[in-house]
Amino acid sequence: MIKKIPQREILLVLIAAVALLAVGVAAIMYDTGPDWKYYQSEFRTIVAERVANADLATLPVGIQQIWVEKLDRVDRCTTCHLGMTWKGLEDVEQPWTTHPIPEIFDDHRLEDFGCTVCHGGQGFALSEYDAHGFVEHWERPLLSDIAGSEYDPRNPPPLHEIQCNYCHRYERSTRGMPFINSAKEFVRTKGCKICHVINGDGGKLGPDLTSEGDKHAEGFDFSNLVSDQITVFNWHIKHFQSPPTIVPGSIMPEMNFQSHDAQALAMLVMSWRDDEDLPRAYLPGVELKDEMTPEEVERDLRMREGDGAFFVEHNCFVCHSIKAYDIKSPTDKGPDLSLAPDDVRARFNKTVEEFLFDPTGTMKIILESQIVLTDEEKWQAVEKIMKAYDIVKNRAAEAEAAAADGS
Amino acid sequence: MNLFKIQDMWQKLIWPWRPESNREAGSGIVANFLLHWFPNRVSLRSLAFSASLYLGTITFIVFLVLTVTGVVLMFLYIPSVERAYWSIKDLDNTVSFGWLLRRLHRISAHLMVALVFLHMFRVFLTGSYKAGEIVRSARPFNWVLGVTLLVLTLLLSFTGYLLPWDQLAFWAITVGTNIAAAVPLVGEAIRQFLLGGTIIGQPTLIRFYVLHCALLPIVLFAVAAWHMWRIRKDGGLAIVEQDRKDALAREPVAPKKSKTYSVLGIASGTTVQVNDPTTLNEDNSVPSTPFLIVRILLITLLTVAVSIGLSLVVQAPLEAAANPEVTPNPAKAPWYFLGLQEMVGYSALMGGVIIPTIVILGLMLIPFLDREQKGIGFWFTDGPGRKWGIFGFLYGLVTTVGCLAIALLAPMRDIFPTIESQLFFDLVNPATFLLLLFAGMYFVVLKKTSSTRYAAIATFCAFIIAFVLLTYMGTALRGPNWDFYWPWQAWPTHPTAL
Repeated sequence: MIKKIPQREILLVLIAAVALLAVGVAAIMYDTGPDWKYYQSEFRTIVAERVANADLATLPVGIQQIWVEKLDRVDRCTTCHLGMTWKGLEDVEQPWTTHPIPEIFDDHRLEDFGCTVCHGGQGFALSEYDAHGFVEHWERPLLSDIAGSEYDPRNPPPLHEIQCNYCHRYERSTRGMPFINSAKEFVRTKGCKICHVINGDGGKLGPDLTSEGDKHAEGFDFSNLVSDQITVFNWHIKHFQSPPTIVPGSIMPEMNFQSHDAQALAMLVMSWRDDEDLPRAYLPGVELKDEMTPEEVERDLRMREGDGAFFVEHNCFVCHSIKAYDIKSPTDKGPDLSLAPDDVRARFNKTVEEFLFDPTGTMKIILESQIVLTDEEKWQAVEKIMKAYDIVKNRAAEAEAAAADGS
Repeated sequence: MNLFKIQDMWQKLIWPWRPESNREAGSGIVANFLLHWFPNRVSLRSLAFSASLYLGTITFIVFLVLTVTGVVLMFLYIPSVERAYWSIKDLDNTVSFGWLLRRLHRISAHLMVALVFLHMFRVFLTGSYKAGEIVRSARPFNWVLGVTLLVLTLLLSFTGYLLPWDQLAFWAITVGTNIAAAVPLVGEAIRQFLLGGTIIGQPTLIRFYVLHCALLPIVLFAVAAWHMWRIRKDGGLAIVEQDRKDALAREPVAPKKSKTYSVLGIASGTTVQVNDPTTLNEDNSVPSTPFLIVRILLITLLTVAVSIGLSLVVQAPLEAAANPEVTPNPAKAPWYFLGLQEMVGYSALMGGVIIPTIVILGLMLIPFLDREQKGIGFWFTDGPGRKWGIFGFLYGLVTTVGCLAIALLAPMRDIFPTIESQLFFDLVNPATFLLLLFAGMYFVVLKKTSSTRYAAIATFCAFIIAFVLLTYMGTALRGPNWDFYWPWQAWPTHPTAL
């Protein structure tokens, strides 16, 4: 008959409890000691040393993220890369340094773009290895020089241009993208579009390349690529250098591209990705407007860039035509400005100059609230109106003279 | 006055009711569910590790871990095709202990599937599905409940597989539902019912989500409760039959006077063996409190510690976001279906429909086909049983390896290049050979020993090794294009973009 529980049993329970405690503590330690906390505390030290009158209390603490709703992206890179938009940290090492091209933020505001749309990488992740994206199952790793040096250690191709051209693909050439620009020049001079559809137009002899950059690695035949690097990028490089070697029987001509050129072209085709989800505002070089006849286009151009451009720019033409400058108002609510000197004198007993600086009636309201001109601009307007008046008067005089000659 | 009121309220909070007589106290205990969670006494034979290896208990603890982690995950997971994958990324990267929740849930799910199989193997090999001769228990029925729980566990695991919405999930569900589509006549309808359409999309995700988080866990919990309640009703683990035999052989002892007689009237039926004074006595049993309680505490602590420990070292994989246009090569179902997928490679009808049906039906019918009552609760019944077990194991090993060799070295389509009929290859293929070889062995052993138990042991052992080998084959030895690779052979380099 057993009455007491054996001590061995109690000991086992204790061991199990200690084991559970141990794994629990290990889990807590693993969770509460991420690398980014170290980077943030280092950043604090760096700022305290380098930046005069920095208020350490306002430094970001905790996970930082940039949520770009329009691009459906969340980038947490700034959790560690805290100094990106700071001035004075240019010579600090990564990840605390200032962005090497700070002026990029002038037309790529950080909150509108985030980081990964230009640089690649895994914006969701917070550990260095995962975030930089050279991990299995992450297809868009960080496009740094390190990635490029895999292909050319001495002269690494600037792979990030692939990402730049995701948005800039319709531009003829873009500042700061030498590789892509030269590749685009090849597309124009070598006649790629004779055989290939590119950006939605071209010949049908070769495959459509409009979305070539979306083609998955599984979709390529690597059987003829003799290389350590079984990558899509390398496939394109070798294919540009010798199409029939990579695709036996290919009729694509060999263009004798240098490896530098082949790299540029490979970057270009890999940048051609489906941009359906990209808001138009992110696509420079794409203009959406109503269809116009050539005459309309020409008149529009004349109005915008001719002598009367001032009146179009400042929206005077909404109500006033200016015959002298060939500007036609869509409404003609007000009198023709070419005749303003006569008109103003007749109606208000003022010169144009007096009227513009001290208007009355409707024009008072408009010039005070809707079309606010600086004094300089008002003088400009007076000058242009007087010139228009002269033109009209001269034309009238010429017409009169011609009529007199005729009679 | 106020103090008295507070005291009174406190009294109610800590103990709402005080009996006024012994009789009332006894009735109170009898009526209390918590106090009857475990039997009063537990047989030493059932308490022993060797009797059950506590596999069923561990399975249930793992299920509780899954429930707790699953409920927390429901707060963090978004069942939408646009957001699901990214909510998992957030769990892995940003959410405090999100990685632990996810890994623990995943590893526990795999453990639960494995444990359910192991528990079933244990119950079969110890003959614990048998009713017993002394008191005809309902254990055969409880075995059927157990097989139901196996199917429910597989369904739960399978529905959970889709939720991360990555390539692994997407294509595992594609393969899994394609196996279901191989059912003649109604296969396509079943697939459409599962997917909520013709392709995997938002309707599929929400179906699998609701099944996984609501319907299946509730059903599984109910059936599991029934399963465990039946064990109590059947008098404990099957090894108790041996205690009953001993009790029969002993001189009958007059029952002790006990207040429980007063409530016998409310518990009707013939299967109440909870208070069975003739079977359990002070020599062959111990009080459940503290003996069983401490044992269960030990098992619980160990199970949770091992699960968390495994979660610390085993990462939960997350592949690229689901992409219907890029098929990973190879596309594999969850591991417990890879044995089937291997056979589906020979014939979808045989591997995907006929064999699973025969296996599930065969499992359910075991206690009704084998009604021999000897050696209940003992591993392999007795000496000859052990021999037949080893025989079945070796036979299964040889035949399965043989059939796999045929599949690899001499595919049927190479042997019969002129035949085009699909039906021919559905009937003549290695999976069919294996089925016939096992069925044949059952009848040969049955004839030789005139024992359904020995025949069943041999067949079951062959089934176990075949299941293990086929699963290993599908998991580890099949690479791109479902080609065969030795474990030491590298798969072709996986191409990447950069």
